[in-house]
Amino acid sequence: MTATSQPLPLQGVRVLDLTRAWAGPYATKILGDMGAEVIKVEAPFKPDARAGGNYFPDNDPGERPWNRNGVFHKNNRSKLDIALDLQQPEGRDLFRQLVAISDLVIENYTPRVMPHFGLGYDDLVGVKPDIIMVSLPGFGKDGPERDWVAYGTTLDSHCGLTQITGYVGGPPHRMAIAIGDPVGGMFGTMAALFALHQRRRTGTGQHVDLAQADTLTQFMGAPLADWSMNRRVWPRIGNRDLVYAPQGVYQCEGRDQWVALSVRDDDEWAALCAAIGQEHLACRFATAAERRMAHDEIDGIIAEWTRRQTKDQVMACLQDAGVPAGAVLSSKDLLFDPHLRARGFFEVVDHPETGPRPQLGMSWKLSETPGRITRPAPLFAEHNQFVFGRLLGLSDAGIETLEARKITSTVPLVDARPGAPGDRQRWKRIGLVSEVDPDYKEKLREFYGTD
Amino acid sequence: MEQALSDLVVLDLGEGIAAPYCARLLGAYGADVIKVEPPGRGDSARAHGPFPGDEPHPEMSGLYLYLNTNKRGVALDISTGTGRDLLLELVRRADVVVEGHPPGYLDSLGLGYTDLAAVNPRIVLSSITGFGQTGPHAGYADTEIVTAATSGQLYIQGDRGREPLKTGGTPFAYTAGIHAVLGTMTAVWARDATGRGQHVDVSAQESAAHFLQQSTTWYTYLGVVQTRIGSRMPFGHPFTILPCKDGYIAATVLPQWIDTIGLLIEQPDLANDPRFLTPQDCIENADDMDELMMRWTMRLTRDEIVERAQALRMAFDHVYTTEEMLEDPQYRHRGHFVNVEHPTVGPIAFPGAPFIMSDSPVVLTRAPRLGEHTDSVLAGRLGLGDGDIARLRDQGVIA
Repeated sequence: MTATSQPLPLQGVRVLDLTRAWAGPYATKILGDMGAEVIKVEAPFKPDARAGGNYFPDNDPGERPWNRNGVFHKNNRSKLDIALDLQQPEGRDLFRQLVAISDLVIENYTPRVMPHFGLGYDDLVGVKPDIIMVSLPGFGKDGPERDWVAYGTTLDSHCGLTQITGYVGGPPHRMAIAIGDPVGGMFGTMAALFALHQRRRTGTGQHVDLAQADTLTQFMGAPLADWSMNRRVWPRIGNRDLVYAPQGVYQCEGRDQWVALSVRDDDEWAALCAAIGQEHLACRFATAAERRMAHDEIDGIIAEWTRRQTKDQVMACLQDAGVPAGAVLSSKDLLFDPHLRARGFFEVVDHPETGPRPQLGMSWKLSETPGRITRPAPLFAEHNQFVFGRLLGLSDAGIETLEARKITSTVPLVDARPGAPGDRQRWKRIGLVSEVDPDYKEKLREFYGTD
Repeated sequence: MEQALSDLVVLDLGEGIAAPYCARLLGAYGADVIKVEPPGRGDSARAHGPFPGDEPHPEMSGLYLYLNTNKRGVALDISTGTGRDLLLELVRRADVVVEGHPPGYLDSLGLGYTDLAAVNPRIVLSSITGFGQTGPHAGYADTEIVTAATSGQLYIQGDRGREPLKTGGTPFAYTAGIHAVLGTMTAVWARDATGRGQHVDVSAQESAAHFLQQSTTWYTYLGVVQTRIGSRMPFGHPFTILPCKDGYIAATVLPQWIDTIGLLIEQPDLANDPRFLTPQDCIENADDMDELMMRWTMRLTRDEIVERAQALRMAFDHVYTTEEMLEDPQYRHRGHFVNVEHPTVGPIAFPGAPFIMSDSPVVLTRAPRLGEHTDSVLAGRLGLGDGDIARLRDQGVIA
């Protein structure tokens, strides 16, 4: 990790994080990267997603698999971690003591849970009048669908995105990313930052109700306008665009190599024609309407040109000519991309269970107070001593009593069911992965200079 | 009305989607947003549509009307010396400037970060571009599909054995705008401690790449490269879209629920079926699983399927069209979609608040006509008289 003496922008903000899975932890990860002190609270009998999956470093579950889960690592860097059982009254009491010294509580339980614990917003205000609480239920704190189960993977269907995604003439196509989760998470961060800002001015906290189903609809402004104005529902058009023509994904030299491009106006069309040595086409399909009608023919001409070059060559050539074009990068391509490297986008994180590995870094760059990955994802209950001892003033004996009564613990108190290591060759056989790279560690070490 | 960001003044120099969307979110939660557009053509989104009856008109573009709610509109040519000076006067009295021009463009006009900070050291400048302000690809042109391609998202989506498939609409342009809000608010917060603003650099490529957490971890931990497997996901099956009697449903069944799925689709032996013992088994035999599921789904409507599945606590949901979303009972209960009236096109149902703050109501007001508030902003904010304003109009600096 880069050492820097520049201050972190959210220094001094303390967050109690009860969230689990992806959306909530995503929200608090961003706060942690910006320097907030995020205390992740895990239940001893139900830790966050430390179990299962097939993301162990180098496919080895190790002796403490609950500390070696890559999904957990990526979602929970820049945070501290304690174990605390809110099912027990004394656990809830300790939680209230933490609320008294915190700025923000964030949770994604189903809506009844926190009030049932006596830890709803109205209860917490009694403990700390200016506390901010951000709740992330799936569909909202009340209403006919309030108890529905959502995973990020179904929200894109609920919010209209899946309906407009698909090959021409094909069925709706599921997004490869459960986009509802990180988007819900980002709006969670936004809610926290807005509430902190308001409190600075007014002195009062508030409760934010963030239904994940309310967030992805933000992307649907244009189709919704078309419905209101024209009673028209958008068709599935594959990789084409309703306005720009041509637009598409074209095959390049090599195995499964592609480039994407768009032509937004007649100038870009002329530039594209010149770049591919077909200047005469600029007049032949001079308007977007003509290009839309001849899209199949134009696709064929473009593909004839791209298939003889690498995707990087095509991208460079067309961008030099001012045409929007992008190489279709795999996750591996991303990790070794020269532009992202120059940007310092991936940051190396040295987790005690994995050694140094690059992770996606900051979502934006700040010129004066840059964020950074402040620490690797915490081990289970790693900060019990700091939080119970230093922050709450409990003695060692006091903490031991809590452990004896299972109000806290130092290891998960449930079989974490880590599952077997992944069969990578089988994944390749069934097509989940395009490549199993035996030299990945060496390549990463070399590229990121982590020897 | 007191709202979260009532104390912030924002100048929106953006065009298209990302930067205007960032400013729109700030405005929805109370910021005073002044949109600054070039006289004549205005924001490029005015030419994008959709339009009523598909007849282009700069005051009737659905995309523009959606992205520019809660803003006042000024038409000002910032490429002129006078226009530049006027903008700097507005910056003097502002907290945030949001823009999406190619890196270096504002600098070339004498309106780069250092120029703005010289006039107002507390200004936060948020710049959103395709590839960021720095690096070998800085300044490259970007559209939604280019962002999808270069962020890793496109490669892993679509059917095996054919070209990858982009997600419909423009989710990654919006994502860049969301990140800009977060970066802006972080900078505003930090300003209290440092006394100074700063430059926020948002790259659409990097914003979208953040969705690739699982894929990149698969490589850094296991050396495997995730690829596309059709309308499915690598965590197990069914995580997919299935047809039913009256449309499509989305099903997400975590591996530990294989018994319950058998119960749901009236196949009690499913849990013991050797084809479906582990998540990888389910993926490998996904076609068989789909066939069993469809025997059940094709007999039922979406409502019936979702109701039965949700009763068993399983994450099934409708594949909604835009029209159907507006009819969804939960969205109606929450008043999520809001009708915004327009003198030009009548009411449009827009999504309302992405989250509900107990102390900061969201009220959407319609997008401004080009130059609708030029006079009132110049008079009200900068104290210009009628004579000055008329002169500027004659010179073509404002409209």
